[in-house]
Amino acid sequence: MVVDSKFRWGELEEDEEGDFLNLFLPPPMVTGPDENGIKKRIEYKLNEDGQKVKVTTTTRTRKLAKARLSKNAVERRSWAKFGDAIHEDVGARLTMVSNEEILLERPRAPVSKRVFAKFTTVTNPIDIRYRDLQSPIPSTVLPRKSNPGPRFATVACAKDLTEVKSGKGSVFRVLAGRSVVVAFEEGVGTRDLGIEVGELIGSKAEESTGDGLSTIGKGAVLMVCRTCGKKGDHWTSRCPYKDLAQPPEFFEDKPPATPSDTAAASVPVKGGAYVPPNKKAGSSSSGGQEMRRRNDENSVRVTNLSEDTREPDLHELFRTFGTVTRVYVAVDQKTGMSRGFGFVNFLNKEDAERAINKLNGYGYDNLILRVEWATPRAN
Amino acid sequence: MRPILMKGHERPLTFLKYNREGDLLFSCAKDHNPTVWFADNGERLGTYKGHNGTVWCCDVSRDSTRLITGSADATVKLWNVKSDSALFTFKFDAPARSVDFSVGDKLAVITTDPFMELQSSIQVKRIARDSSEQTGESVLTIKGPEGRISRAVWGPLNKTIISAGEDAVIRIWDSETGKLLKESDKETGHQNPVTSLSKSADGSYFLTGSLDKSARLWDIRTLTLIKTYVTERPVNAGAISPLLDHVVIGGGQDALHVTMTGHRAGKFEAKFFHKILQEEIGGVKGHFGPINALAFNPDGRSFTSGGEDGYIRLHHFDSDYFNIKM
Repeated sequence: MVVDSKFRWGELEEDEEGDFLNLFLPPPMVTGPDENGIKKRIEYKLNEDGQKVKVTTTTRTRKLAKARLSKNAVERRSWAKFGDAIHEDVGARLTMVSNEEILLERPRAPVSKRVFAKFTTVTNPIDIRYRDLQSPIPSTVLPRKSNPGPRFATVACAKDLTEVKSGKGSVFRVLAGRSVVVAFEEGVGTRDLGIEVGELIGSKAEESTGDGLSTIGKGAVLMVCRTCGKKGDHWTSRCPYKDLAQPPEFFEDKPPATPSDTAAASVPVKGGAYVPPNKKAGSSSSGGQEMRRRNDENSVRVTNLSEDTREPDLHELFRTFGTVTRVYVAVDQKTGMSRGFGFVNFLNKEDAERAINKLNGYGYDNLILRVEWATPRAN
Repeated sequence: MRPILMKGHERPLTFLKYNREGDLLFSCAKDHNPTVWFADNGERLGTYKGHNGTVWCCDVSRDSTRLITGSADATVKLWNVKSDSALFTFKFDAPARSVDFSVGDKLAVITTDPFMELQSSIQVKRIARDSSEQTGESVLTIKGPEGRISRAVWGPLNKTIISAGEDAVIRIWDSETGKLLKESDKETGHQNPVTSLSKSADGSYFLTGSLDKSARLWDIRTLTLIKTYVTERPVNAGAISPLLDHVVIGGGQDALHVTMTGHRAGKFEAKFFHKILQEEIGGVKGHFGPINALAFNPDGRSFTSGGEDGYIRLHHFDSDYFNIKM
């Protein structure tokens, strides 16, 4: 690298002998502060042995945070405590940072009066059809107690459904292919959420409109399951442990069911609607909900169980195939022995299918298991 | 954001006020002891002991040296902010509901509730610079409005006094003569008792909240209704952001909505509205009871809410708050 500055050999003074070699060195370069505030300065020197040395100095320049407090405020900071605060120990329980992150939750749709209803889906319906929602949906769906407010419909959706828009004022949005949020305008401005799924009405999967729904965007809502208390994972109706805590107040005409509810299988659904004969005892103890009925299509009947087989055994045996939502083993109350059969409900139908294929004929505790679909028509 | 919870009061909060510089927060509650906190981290500085009844309202002078508090024990006390001692006590015949320092802190307007046969009144007292010269004399007394006067504040340049109360009418009074200058229109105004009134940072408009589930924005000189914000719950408190075009409204005595959020944080929320578009921006949940008091820090970067549950929640906004697009 040639030095730019013009110089004349002859004019160099004698005692700068050592220094003139410096003139062969490139001039120092400074790369100014970039977006991180880093500034680099590259210099070249000669060390004692006369070798060229490159020195890189990296500095980070930072803007000091503006002092927030005025002079008086700083002075006030040093005031003595008075009143009740005199005897306070530092770090007392009075002032504490919240454990929870609180968000400024944006409203879902940019409509001022809006009623929300959130539903859970059924797992594998083939298609969904929806009614054109020109008029408010009558509450045939679920007998909602006395609350005249929101009328809504439950919708089951296929996994890959993204967005669907229905008629006037109603919007369906599918979250992650699993659940549907129905938002529609209602004179009453109440917001009711968390309604369990009832009757099935749906819509064609492909129908989707871009406008209107894009404005919904991502709701800043935290998914919390009331059954297991886990946040952010699933809504209550999608809880894998859904039969553990049945909210009975949603349904007037159904007796609150417990997981061990057995023989009285003919639980009326939705105020006397037709219950198809595939409602078997034990197949779904919560009985009768449309959504649970869907789950019962993933129900597997296991027969020829040995007499000391119980629920945990079945659970352990079947869980390798997928998430098991519930297990039931018929037990003779008098003898305490298994009556030889039981039911296993899977979250996904494919898991149930695999379980059937693998475990049918499997030898378990000295007996050969028979594993089949609980409902005769499980295509 | 992670709100800072301050549980210094055992009873419901009634009022919150920041000092002008935004480093102190004064809180009044039904537990007789107004409290002062540091506004950045929520640390308690002290309490003012002396009142014998619910403290309804307070105001702090511009230099943060004087605090005036109005209480249901029919007294209004003037305090030195730094210490616990009451400098002066104004005695009344009825519970004092609202107090407000004038611009310049030389006067204070105090309202009293209707009590037995006594009507509610608005009184103006002179505040002496030197507290030893303080007298209890009223410069001006206005009687007239029916029902309780929830709040009375000074108008621009101390020429007027604005009052709003149980009869849902907002009135402008002349501060020297006591004459009624203007009244808000009954049809377009609130339909139910007005619970709160707060001025904007520049004092040219103010926000009133009412039990009719709406909050309205009014011009302070002409009393024209500028904006209306509709909520689903009766409004107990409101505040205007000094920094962005937002107003926050809190309230809520009606039945709880069924929500999907966690049961740990409370469900009562402070609702943010866009001041100009009148649309809801969002809500900040957390209180376990209706929100009774709201205040924005003068720098607009944090706000505080006080609830029926006795908690004060101090929220420092996240950076996304400042980037909200409507």
